[in-house]
Amino acid sequence: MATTVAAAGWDVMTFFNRLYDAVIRGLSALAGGILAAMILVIVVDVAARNLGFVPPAATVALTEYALLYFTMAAAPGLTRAKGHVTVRVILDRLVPASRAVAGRMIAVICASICLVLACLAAVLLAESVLLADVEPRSIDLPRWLLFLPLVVGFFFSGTEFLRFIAIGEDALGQADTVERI
Amino acid sequence: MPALLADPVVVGALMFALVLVLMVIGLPVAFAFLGANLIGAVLVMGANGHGLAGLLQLVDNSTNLITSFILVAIPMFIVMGALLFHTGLANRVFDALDLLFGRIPGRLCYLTLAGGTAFAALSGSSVANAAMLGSLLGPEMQRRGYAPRLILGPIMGVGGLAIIIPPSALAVLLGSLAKVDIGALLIAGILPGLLLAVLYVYVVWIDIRRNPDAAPIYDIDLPPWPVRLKAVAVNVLPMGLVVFCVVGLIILGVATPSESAALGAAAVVVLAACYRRLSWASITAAFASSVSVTGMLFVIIFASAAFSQLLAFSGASSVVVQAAVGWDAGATTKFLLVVAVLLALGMFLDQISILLITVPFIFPVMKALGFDPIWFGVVVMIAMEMSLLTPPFGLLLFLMLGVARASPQLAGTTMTDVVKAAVPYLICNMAVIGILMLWPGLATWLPKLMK
Repeated sequence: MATTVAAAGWDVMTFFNRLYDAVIRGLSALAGGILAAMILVIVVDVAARNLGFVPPAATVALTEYALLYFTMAAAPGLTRAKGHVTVRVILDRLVPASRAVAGRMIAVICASICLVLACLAAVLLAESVLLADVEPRSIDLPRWLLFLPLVVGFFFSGTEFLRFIAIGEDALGQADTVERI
Repeated sequence: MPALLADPVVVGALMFALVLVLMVIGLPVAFAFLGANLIGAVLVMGANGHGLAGLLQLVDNSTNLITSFILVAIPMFIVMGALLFHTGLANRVFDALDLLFGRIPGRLCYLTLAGGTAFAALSGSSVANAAMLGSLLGPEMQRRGYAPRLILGPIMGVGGLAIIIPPSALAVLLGSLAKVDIGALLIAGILPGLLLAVLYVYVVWIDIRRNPDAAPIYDIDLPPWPVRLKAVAVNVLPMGLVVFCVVGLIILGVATPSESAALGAAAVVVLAACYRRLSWASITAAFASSVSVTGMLFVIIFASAAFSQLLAFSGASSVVVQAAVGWDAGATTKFLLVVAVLLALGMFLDQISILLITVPFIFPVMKALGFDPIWFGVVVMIAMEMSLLTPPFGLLLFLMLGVARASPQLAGTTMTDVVKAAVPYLICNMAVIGILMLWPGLATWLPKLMK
């Protein structure tokens, strides 16, 4: 009986772990899709303009919003891949045990920052929905669309930092191995 | 405490120190900014009893910079470079250029410089360029018995050119932060970038002339000239389409920098399809690496936007700018001091962090002193290129140390060896800054032509 309950509990945990991993991977894939869509939309817009057609008014506004959605969709996967740039002036000079402790403390600070920002964005999201705020751009868009990706992106970035603490892994990447501009 | 926080200089200094401390203790750069922003918002707005409102305002304002159309050029430039590398088009350019150099002494050094300059004109990532050149040419130069400084130096020198020669993702970031014309800034980098490439060639030529044994001549089988020219015509000239989309359309005024960047990325896709190198695997690999690089950059931009706004709101930015402008020293002295500060920061911080921290202060000061912002932007980009090569934490120094130590012939390479190899190229950068001071037209002539 106890074994069955434990097995059922394990299955539920496994299911949620897989679901969670799928969400993080899905968000990264979404970020890639947004990049591709931006190229397509802009090329169509420029082509339409130069061929004498009237380009869609939504292009600029949608592309601007897409940048925010891209950033927040990429953020959790970036945290998991240890892709954030870190200045390792001090970290690299610590002995492994101290570095592990420092890594955990940094992960706690980063997770706290993310979760506080997710909560603040959630408040703004709720306010915008209740007040039916509109953001005037090349087309008018509901303002809550600005805060939705912040809630999702920061929440899952926060949980990714907590995940590193839970599995006892260093949350920080090597700055000098990150491909950068 | 509240009285002290009413002083904008104290608030500014506190926020500046907070970001630096958080970065140095090891918080990722983006989170150092986000943490400083949260504390700064409570300090600046909480002093009036509006702490929560200040925090909400902070989050609200954070979306402003990141949702601006001008930043679209950054991911487009990065996708463009990634597609070139992952579809193998970059290798085709390189192989064709290889056929052009014949049996001249130091041919692999010149090939590095030519290939690196070509890639700088096709890709927005300096580190990706240096990594590619290092992996492609490093082993071959070692096999041919080149001196370590002739292997490491040209790759490090030319790797940084991608910052200056368009497409440059860093130039777009700089332009958006400094609120200068991004198209003009991109175009302004062309001539100084090409001058740097010429100076690098001169450095290699002088070195080989003085030490012929440093780059032994070796025999290679080269096809006849018609075959070599055909290879260049087939593999290099079509890349002109990408350069035209990025640079030509901006100069002609047909497209904005963001639009031209998207067209450049589309042009790479079309070319890859023409060469039958477009595959699902290459596309997904290119977009995956672009998501990683652009995502990292955009999270930092998002985090830093509110930092600049908080500094401006506290009044710290204007006080510093007024103090710097009012300081009793010549404009040239102030300019040189700013360059020195950028180079000093470059010894410890990465280029993005340096720009995010300094641009809100230095650009208003330089504008108030009468310096052309486009010209100054080019100087800042050269300083950023130099910061890739300044010890102790120059990114390209570490990259090349890794490349060298991975090879059996150069396993004993030390950081000092790498730094020594970089010195002549750093001097070239300083020389170009000097030339820009004497002849600003080197940077401003092309943008004026554009107008």
